Amino acid sequence: MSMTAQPRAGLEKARWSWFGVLRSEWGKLWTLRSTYIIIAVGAVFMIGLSFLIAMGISEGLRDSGGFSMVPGFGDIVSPVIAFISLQGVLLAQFATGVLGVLLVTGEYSTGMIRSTLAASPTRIPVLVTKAVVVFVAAVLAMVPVAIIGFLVAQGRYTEFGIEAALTDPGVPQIVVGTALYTAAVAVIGTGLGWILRSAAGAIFALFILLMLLPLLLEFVDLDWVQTLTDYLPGAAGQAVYTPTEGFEILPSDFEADNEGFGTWEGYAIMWGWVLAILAAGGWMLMRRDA
Amino acid sequence: MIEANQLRKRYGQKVAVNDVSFTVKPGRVTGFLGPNGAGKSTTMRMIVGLDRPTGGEVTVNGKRYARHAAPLREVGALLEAKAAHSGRSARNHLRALAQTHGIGKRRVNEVIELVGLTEVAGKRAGGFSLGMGQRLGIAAALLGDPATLILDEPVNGLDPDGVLWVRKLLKRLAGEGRTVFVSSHLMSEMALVASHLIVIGRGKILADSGIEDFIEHAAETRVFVRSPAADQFTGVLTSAGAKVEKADGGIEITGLAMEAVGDAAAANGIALHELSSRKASLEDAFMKLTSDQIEYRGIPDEVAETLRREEASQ
Repeated sequence: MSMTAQPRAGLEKARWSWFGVLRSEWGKLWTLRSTYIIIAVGAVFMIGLSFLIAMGISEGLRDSGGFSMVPGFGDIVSPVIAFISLQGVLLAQFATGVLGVLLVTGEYSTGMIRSTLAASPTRIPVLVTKAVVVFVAAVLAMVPVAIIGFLVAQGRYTEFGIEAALTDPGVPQIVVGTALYTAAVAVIGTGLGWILRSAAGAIFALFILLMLLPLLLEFVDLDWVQTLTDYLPGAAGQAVYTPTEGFEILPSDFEADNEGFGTWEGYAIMWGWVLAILAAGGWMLMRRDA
Repeated sequence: MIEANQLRKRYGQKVAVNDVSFTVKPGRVTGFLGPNGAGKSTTMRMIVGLDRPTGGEVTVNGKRYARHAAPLREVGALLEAKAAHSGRSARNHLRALAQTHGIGKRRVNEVIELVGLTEVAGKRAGGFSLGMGQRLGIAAALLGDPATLILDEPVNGLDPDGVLWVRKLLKRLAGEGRTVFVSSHLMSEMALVASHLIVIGRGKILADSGIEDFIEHAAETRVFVRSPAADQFTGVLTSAGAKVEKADGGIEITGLAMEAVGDAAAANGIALHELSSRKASLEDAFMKLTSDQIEYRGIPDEVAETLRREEASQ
């Protein structure tokens, strides 16, 4: 029971800092069991779906006796094989998205947010560092997951001689791009979390934005709506993991929706969304009572 | 030192804190007393910037809380029983808060020991009892060794040992020259720990004074008398303008000083077996002060009285 009439050694130098908040938020992410569970789920989504797609393709090729069904399939280029191998991203993006959502809404549902904002009363640094932390964490987790998913899929292609190697030109960019895409979704998750403050609401909003909206807008036969659809975060963002050429020999199922955005052009458009959602979240964070 | 100036908070139509001004000085425990819903928590939340004032300003050591370079070194706040993520261990919770200010592991372990959570520091906070949660909140408040402490209902949910411990802690912290601002709706608790009182009711400050002064001014002292001729004496006292009630095998008189009661007995030749003054309690003073301030206005008196009693005995 020794308490501190005078400040303890070291404590008089204690100051709030951006770096301190970054360390704090990084530690907070990795001291929750849910973080590991969500990443594991994301890995299962990614690797599992990639495996199933590869299995389906190889079965189809076997049944049709090689490449007769798809003329020229044997000439398929490695980046396109990598892209097809990593379609699990469509599911995995929801895992990282939920990771971002919970990083914020978990604080609101438990009351932690009051401790967090009392320690960082200027608030915005919390929003910024949470975004940075979840982005870095998602990239670090999803790059190895994408590599494993890619390798697992290649096992199914070997017998047809079309398997790609990780080192083939263009493949590393597809693999890393997949992780970068899911990481941007994670940041969107935090932004929606700040705006809606409830996990259910934010996850639903994420689902609408990434899944339902693109599907439903397909039915609106207006040019400007179709153009808008191309600019949605999912459609634009997929440019970062989609090869720019080599799709012509594929059946239309695999035609990318990517309406000609360059790799970084599309990803930049996605980040426009990310920043806009974060800005809205920040504006609300500053205005509302905690 | 906490200074509130015309502080105001409105939620929709309801004014929770109504142009409140007060100063909380260092070196003593200042009690913040008021019925539930009087605006205590809202006021405290505004001090650390969790709620935005609708009007006015509140500063800590001359600056708004958010303007300080090391907020946790200025103010330690315990605002709700649960302000920790239920999935994170107590130690990791405190470490995360400490890291924002570059406060090291040693200090984290120190506060864990201080609040008596060493045994369970590795356990997830979600499994904590209300009392353990309070201790964790107090540990968080003490992390930065702050000059000012703000504690909202700190003894809530604590066992008797814990209550005693909090009282001692608050007094010691004030003795070290810190500003200690502690709220409660329990008047008995305030009487034991605070030396200065700020009373709030319906968002307004009703009193701001030393605890002795408060009792003296806010409540009448009663005179207790035992007499074989109590009935006759009651008539005498009533005609002298006093209010008399039967109590504890005697009568209790308000509205006359003890000396006047004794003189009246002598003048009428009434024998007294006991003549004593009953000092008003903080409860009495508080009830008198807030009786028309509580939200129960408009419901039958006996119901309101029961509610008040329940609140007071919580």
